[in-house]
Amino acid sequence: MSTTAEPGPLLEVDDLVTRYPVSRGVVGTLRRRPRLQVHAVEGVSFSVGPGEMVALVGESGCGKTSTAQTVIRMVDNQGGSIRFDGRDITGMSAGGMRPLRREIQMIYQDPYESLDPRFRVRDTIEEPLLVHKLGGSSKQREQKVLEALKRAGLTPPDLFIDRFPHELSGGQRQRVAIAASLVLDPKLLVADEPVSMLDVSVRAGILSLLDGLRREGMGILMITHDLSTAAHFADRIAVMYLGRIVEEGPAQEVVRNPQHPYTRALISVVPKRDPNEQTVPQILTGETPNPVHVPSGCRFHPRCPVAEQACRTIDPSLQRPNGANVPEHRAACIVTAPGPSADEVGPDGRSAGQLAAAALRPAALALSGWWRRVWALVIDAAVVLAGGVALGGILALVPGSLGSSLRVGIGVVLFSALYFTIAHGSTGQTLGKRALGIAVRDVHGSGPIGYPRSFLRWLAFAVFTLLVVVLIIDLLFPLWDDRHQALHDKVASSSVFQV
Amino acid sequence: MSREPILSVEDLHVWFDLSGGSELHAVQGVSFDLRPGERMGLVGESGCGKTTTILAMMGLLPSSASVAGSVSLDGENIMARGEDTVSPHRWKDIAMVFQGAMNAFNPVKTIGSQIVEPMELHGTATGKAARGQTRELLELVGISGDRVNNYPHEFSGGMRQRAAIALALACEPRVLLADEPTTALDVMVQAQILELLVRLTRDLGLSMILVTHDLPVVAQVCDRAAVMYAGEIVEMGAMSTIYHDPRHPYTRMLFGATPDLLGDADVISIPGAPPRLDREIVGCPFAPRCDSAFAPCATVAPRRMETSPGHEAVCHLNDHVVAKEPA
Ligand SMILES: Nc1ncnc2c1ncn2[C@@H]1O[C@H](COP(=O)(O)OP(=O)(O)OP(=O)(O)O)[C@@H](O)[C@H]1O
Ligand SMILES: [Mg+2]
Repeated sequence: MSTTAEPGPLLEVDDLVTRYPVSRGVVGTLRRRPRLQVHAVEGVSFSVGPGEMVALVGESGCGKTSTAQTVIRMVDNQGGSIRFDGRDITGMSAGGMRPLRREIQMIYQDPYESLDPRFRVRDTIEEPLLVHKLGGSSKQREQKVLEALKRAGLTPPDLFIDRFPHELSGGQRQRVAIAASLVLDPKLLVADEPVSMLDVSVRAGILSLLDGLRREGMGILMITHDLSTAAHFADRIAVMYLGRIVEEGPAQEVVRNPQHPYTRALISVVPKRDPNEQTVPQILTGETPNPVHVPSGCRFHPRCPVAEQACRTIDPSLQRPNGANVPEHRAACIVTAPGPSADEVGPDGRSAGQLAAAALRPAALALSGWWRRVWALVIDAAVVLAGGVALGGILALVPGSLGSSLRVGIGVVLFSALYFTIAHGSTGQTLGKRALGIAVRDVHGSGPIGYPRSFLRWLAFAVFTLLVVVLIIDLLFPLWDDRHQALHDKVASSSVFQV
Repeated sequence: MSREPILSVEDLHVWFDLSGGSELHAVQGVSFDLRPGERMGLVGESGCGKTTTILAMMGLLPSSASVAGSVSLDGENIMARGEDTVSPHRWKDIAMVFQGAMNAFNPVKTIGSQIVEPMELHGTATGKAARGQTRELLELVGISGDRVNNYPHEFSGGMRQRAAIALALACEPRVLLADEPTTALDVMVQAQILELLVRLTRDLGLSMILVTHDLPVVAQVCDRAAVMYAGEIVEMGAMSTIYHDPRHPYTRMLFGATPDLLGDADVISIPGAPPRLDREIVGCPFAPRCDSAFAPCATVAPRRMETSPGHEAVCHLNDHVVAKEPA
């Protein structure tokens, strides 16, 4: 999250491209087959600020790890730029990178492989200090090692300092690996699946540790395929598909209000802890295609449930979708996430709806999930009431034999039918849900917290609303009703429909 | 589901002989029933004995293991005379998808020939019939029958996992034991495999035990769950009861350590580590890590108590006699 002082981002990646050549083999070379490439990263841009945790999520092979490795300059990029702490490090030589290496540290997936089994904890953590010729006397170095152990949550440190890796649990090993990167006081930590090899019971501890470092001002780029973890711990989430970021935004916004069909599908298949809260999983067939042969147009179109003809040719770029609740939310889809058209854009580039939603947003975020649903219902009920009463009022003026309250009721039913069908038919979001940032879980309709999808359930909802409205009107507007009665009587006497 | 259990495990124990002459008590008195068509989850931390339990049910433990207790299939104890009584049922009645099976195919044999093997070995089908069935099996798990002659490396990870499931189904078993079938897979492929498993139990009437360390996966797929800790089932019951009303602190803390996509609560890890299984455990095995341990936990082993019909837990908190005793 940005702080008041607003220092520039720590890491700025712009339009990054990383490709690996595919070996053609002798036969291929002789036959002059075209030289193929793995398009691992194809135009990725993002930034990580100090004190910010950004999660890169996506299926295996989508380019998450390649992005991370390019960022730390372990792999060369073919295009784009990487800036670290204001300096362009894209073409920097190994020598030039050397002083920067201590400021960017990497944490790997497997704490069993990343620690040398012959090294005691002390040696593992001291090693980076020796490599970088830091830390002064051995006394001072020991002090630093103890401090790093403490920061990594291995307390008391002297209990661990002389152990070998095999004398530690998986979680403790990962903490040692983290301590070894903390000893250099890095500004940026790149963590590639830091907990996926660990037991569930200890994962939270490691993630909280990273969260604490983030609070101390460290920037963290976390690579993960676990959306639940990203939603919980990251400030921002970037969803990758086949070398591209297809959606990006504040973590809660991305998981609660996903705009890209790929993100929506991913979110729909994440199993929830509560057996009664499972969504209808929207399962995509097949697996992430081979990044050697990237589909034309939108690279997701062959697996996309809502792809249109245009998606075969148009390669969408990241832009702020109409359905976004916050301006930093971006998605690349011309079907579900079109940007605002020029005429409805407000002074700062936001549409009226987005401005209204943004104004309600802070209040909405303060509410818990349950209350959010109730308030969404209240907002929608208010909209239906207001619109329905207006429609009913108009109906009441038309001569006829039905009572005014019945007509207002009919107005409400008609209006709510229109309101919900139109909302569901297009974006799937009602004003209430949009204002409160409630996500629509799958492309085809509502999720568990959406409104009833089936017609019968919708009918029940409409009848319920109708009854409530008739009651309220009968209680509150008897006078209004009376005044109109005179008019009705006059008209009715001349009408063919006699009571 | 009031039908007779198809499979019934009673007081199962497994000990491994360790090289130093000591013994590791990997499974310490596991009992449960599995009804026809039921999907049960077996969850717990690494090393709690999930794999050992189902290997014992298949009679596939190494010779260093000794087993006690009974495993009954339709009321008949198939462990009564060891290999003699298990082998007629292995693969034909009870089959298993091994942990990491998708990476265990023989790389130089076609997928088809590897599925034909168990059929011919157990005499359920041979020759042309077996090859025909193999195509059908592949189609059943969502792979085109034309790919029978493909080699494992020509399949993606998800397809190899499907093939591993087809292999387990080769002899038309009634009970499927699936050991971490989605652990190494991406979330979308995981969803595909879970959907397949649910479909198989529905269409073929299979009963299934899904072994995993991932509670949300069990929540999504299973009707019932058994939570294992240190070789013991510490809580068992309907999945929604276990989530909404856990009666063992370990279950509650395990849920608390699992992030939920849209959950607001903090995720908190469980301090400490499981106890060593090569030493005798005194009192409740979870007591040192438990946030609600009290006086008797350190010394007295808790009893298994039924807290409501079909829901049981092994914790002193449910035992009013012990819980009322002064500290
Ligand atoms: N062949 C063996 N010899 C000795 N000990 C063993 C053997 N197999 C398993 N164990 C031990 O038995 C205990 C239970 O292991 P098991 O593999 O059943 O656990 P698990 O619950 O399946 O774990 P995971 O989630 O890691 O697969 C562990 O302490 C393990 O080290
Ligand atoms: Mg196992």
